[in-house]
Amino acid sequence: MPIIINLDVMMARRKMSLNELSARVGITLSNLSILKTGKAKAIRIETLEAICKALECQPGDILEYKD
Amino acid sequence: MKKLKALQFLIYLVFGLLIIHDVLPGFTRGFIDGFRDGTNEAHGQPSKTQLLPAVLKGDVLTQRGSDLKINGDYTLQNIYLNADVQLNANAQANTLLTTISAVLTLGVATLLVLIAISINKIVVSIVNGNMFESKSIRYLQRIGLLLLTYAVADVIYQRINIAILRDVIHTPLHVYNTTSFNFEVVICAILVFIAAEAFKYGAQLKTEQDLTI
Repeated sequence: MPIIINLDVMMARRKMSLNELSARVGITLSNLSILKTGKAKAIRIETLEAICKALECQPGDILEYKD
Repeated sequence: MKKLKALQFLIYLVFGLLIIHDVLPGFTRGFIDGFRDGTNEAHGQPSKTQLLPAVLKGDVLTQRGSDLKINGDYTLQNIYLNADVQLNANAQANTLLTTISAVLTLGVATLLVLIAISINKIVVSIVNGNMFESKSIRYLQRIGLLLLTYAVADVIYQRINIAILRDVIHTPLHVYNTTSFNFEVVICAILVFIAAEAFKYGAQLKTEQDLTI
């Protein structure tokens, strides 16, 4: 898929664990893992908003398009 | 698209054959009876004679005095019932046909058991909330195939049993049931296949829903 999820990069930059992000965003660990590994089919705006708020970043920092 | 067209054609074909099988003989019979009623007139006036029901149930026959009556209107007198069906005591049923019949009996029973098992597994998956999974869809498709197999096996079974009976019983009236095919079962199978396709689409939607974060 040409859309790449850079969630692990942002988490490393913020030194935040998956458990901590899961608790802050309010989604389960399994769903966060699906998102991190790029298996997700879609992402809700509200989820993206919560992740950006928790990681103090822009949506573009998490999502990247590569042809 | 080709699959859809084939399914539509199959539905019309099966329903057309079902109409010929179930409706047309009754329609023809009704037309002939109606024609006879119309000609059953006395002096230009419709006959007031009460028509006899096509099937006489036991309770319409009454015994009044020495006369046996139907609906209290018709007295049965000098009637001979000629049951010209003879059982040939010396005849032996064909061993091969009898064996095939026995095997088919077991086969049909097995098919019914397999259908029941598959239905049971679908019910279990519905209860567990896994109905929109590939496993349930496979069970539905299997039920459809088993129903089609059952319809075919049932026809063969009937044919063989008629052949066995013809060896043993002598009947002067030759009644051939040429359209004993179980169309209702085929229609059920088609409906099950349609349900399987709907479930397949449901499973796709569920996967997308599950992978939407």
